[in-house]
Parts: sequence; C-alpha cells; structure tokens
Amino acid sequence: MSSTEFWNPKTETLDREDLKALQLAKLRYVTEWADARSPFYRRTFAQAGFRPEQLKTYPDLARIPLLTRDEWMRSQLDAPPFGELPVAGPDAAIRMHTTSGTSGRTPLRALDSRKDWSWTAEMWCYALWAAGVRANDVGYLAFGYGSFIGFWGLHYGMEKVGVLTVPGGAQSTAQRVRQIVDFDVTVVASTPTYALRLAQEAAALGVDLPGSKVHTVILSGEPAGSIPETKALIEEQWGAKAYDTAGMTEISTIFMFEPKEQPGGCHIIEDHFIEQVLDPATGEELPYGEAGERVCTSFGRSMIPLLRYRTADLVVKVPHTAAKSGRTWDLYQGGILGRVDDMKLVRGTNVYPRTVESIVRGFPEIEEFQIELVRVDIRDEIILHAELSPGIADERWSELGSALRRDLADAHEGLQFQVERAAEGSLPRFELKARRLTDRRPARSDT
Amino acid sequence: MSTDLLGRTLTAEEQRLSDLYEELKSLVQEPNDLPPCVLANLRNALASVAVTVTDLGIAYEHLIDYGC
Repeated sequence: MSSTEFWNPKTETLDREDLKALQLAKLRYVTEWADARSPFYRRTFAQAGFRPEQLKTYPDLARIPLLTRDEWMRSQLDAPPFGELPVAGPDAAIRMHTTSGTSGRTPLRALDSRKDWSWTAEMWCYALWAAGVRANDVGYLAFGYGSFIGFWGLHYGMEKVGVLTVPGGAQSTAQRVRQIVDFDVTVVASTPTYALRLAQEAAALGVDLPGSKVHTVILSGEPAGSIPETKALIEEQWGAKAYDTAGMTEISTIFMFEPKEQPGGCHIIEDHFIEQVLDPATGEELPYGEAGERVCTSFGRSMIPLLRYRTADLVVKVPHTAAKSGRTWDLYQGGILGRVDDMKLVRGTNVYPRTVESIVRGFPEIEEFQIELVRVDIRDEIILHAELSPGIADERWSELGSALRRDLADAHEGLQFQVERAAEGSLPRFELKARRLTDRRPARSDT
Repeated sequence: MSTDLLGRTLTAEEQRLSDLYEELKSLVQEPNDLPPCVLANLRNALASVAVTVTDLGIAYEHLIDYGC
C-alpha cells in the first residue's frame, strides 16, 4: 500500500505502543495547560485530587475527573457567555460556534483560536483523504452555514486538500440538487437524512443523480451513516459511495472516519484523541467488543480543553485489525450506535431507534417516518408513521405495512408496532440532525 | 540533535520544519513592530505549521500567547 493512501502516513501507521506513548506525552501537556489556564479544570482537578504530574502511565488517565455536558452548561450559565472552561477570553479566539440545539437544550458556545481552527479542518482532511477525495474533486456542502458548527470544518478541510469547494448554504433543496448537477460536483457532504431528502427531490425534479458526476457522499451528524440499510439506500439513490464520519461541537471537528474499504466501522483519529469506552453505570473502562459510553479526550482545541468528556454516545470499540486499511488506529464498529439513553422500554421490550431505522430503510418506498410512543390506559403502544413516495397505491401499502409490522415484530421479541400511513408531505424533513422519536407517555421510572 | 515527541531523531526534512516553526514563533512573539498585514499572515502561517509539526509528532503545544 503506497503512503499516498494516508493523509499522515507517520501516525496513521504508528506502532500501537508508540501511539500510546505519543498520546501520553500530549495528555501530560494538555492537562498542564488546562490546570494552569482554565478556572474550571483547576477547580475540578483540585477537587478530585488530580495533578498532571501523576500521569506516568496510560492507566493513570483514569485519575482525570470525568466532564459532563451538564457541568459545561452549568458553568456557561453561571459565568456567561462562555463559562469557566475556556483558557482565555474571546479576544484570543477567531471563531464561535454552538451546538445544534436540536435536543431542545440550551446550545453550548465554543471558541476556537487560529490554530484550533486549522486543526479542525485538518481532522476532516484525514476523512476526506481516506475516502479518496483529492484536489481534482468538486465538493458541495449541503447545509445552512449557521452558527451550528455542522460542516464548517469540512468546508475548510476541502479547501486544504485542494478541492474546489462549493458552499451550499441559503438554498432550497431543489436549488441544491440543481447546483450539484450544474457544477459537476463529485463529492457531496450532508447528514444521512438530508442525503436521502436530496435524492427524493432529485427524483421529483426528474434529475438523474446516479447519472451525475457525484462519486462520494460524506455523511455526518447522525448515527445513520453507519446503519447498513440507510447507507445502502443512499449509495443506491446517489450511485455513489457513502462514507460515515462523526464529530461534535465540543471538539469542533470529527474524531472518526470510515476508510475507503468500508469495513463496517470508523477509524478513531488516535494521535489527536484518546477515546475510551466506559460502562455508563460504573465508569469502568470496557474491553474491546463491549458496548458502552464514549468518553473523549481531545488534544486539538486550545481555547477549551476537553478532558474525559462523557458524550453519551453508545459505541463498541474494536482493534485496528478489524479493518484492512493499513492504519493502526482502532475503530468504532458500526459507528455511533445511538445514545446511551435513547433505548426505550415498551411492554418489557427494548426498542432502539437505530434498529427501527435499519428496518424501515429496507423499504425504499418509505420516504420519511416517525416513531411515536403513547400510553393507552395502562398499556404502552408504539406507532410507526410511514410516509410513502408519491403514487404508491393503497394495495401496495397494505402489503408493505404488513411486511413492516412483521419485520419490526421479529426484531423486537414479537412486540407489535402499530404501522400507519402518513399523508404525503405531512412528516417533518430535516437538514441537520433528524428527530424521529417522540415519547408522549407520562413519565414512569421504567421507561 | 533534535528529537520528536517519541525521542526519535528528526529527519532532515523534519528538522527544517521544526526550524521553520520556531522561526515563525519568534517572528510573531509580542512585542513586535510587524505591520498588521505581516502579523496576521504570519500567525495564519504559524497555525498551519503548528498543525503540521503536531501531525508529525515533532512538537505539541498551544499557541494562544502567540495570537494563534
């Protein structure tokens, strides 16, 4: 394998022991940095009895106190507008971004310095290069370019690689479809949900997307980028390869990417992050192959150090040997599997939105869907609202609905879903993170 | 002889990068009399080179005190 297949051949193929030594060296520096400059970390380190000089071996990582989103938010509310995590005031930064706000919670505000932002773009370069994107490509970013960090870093990453980069902000979906074709775009970036929405719009406009020059779709923002059924649908509708990535505003960029070989998982960018998988109940680090909560330590953002951040993402880490890309970086098998708290209990059966989506995406006639949980008297009901492509006859819906009910029950220990056809255009569409589950049940301890 | 973060001797190319990095830091260090056009562009250059030396494990540090 030639070195040009890697953005950074030196560290992407680094021996695991050397990689850990490199991480430890960076960890010592960044904890000293946080301790010296961030009022929040100085306080929480002291409260936990942690001092950076205690980091002598890799297991000492566990000495660093965990950080939660609630702690960050509380700090932001107590000391507005940025809280006490930043190491300097906004005059030292060149950018401010926020979380998406799609969860309904107050968005976090994050600051980046010049170097931070250059690093943000750099992390996207790892993903672009691994997906085979090169300087002769034409990239299109199908998102709104607001204060949410979204694909901002990817825009700069594309420029860094040398891609002719087209910002797709402030456009309708139809306008974006036309631009993608008119500008001979070869690489499109969007959420998985919006990639499907663009394909639906193309079909409505009579645009032949598989016949366009697009060969690669870069996905981010939702776990669906690694759901095989969703990815297959995107690849079929675009006639292109789709590659998953994942990031978050709290680090300003992505921490994992799917290599060209599509091994069913994403490499963690391990020379810039330490990613741990913890048992969410005990906080103990889990071995390879066990599902747990993703905890992230980032070396990139100087303005706001992120140490042992509890992301609430559900992941399974597997050794680098699970992929044949030649990289020595471990992977998250199946990407982000969901949220540690998004499992719903319905009449004693666990229901994960990811599992439902994987089944629904097996029916390409379904354009959009919503899951609704309600309580009727004392009985919980789960309803799948499915909106079909225009022109699907009632007879076909009858067959499709039956098949859907059967497959959903088979995947959920016989749990019977109510499957209802939604009127055309009645379900919400999403450009950013989709929200497809509404739990209307009164709060109860077992749900 | 300079070494990287793993204690390995820098290659000739890495040494040149390291020298460039240190030179850029020296140039933008406050106080200086650089005109705004020079300072801003050198800081951008330093940000890029800092990412490069970090990628290669040659150096790792934050540069807020250098306007980066």
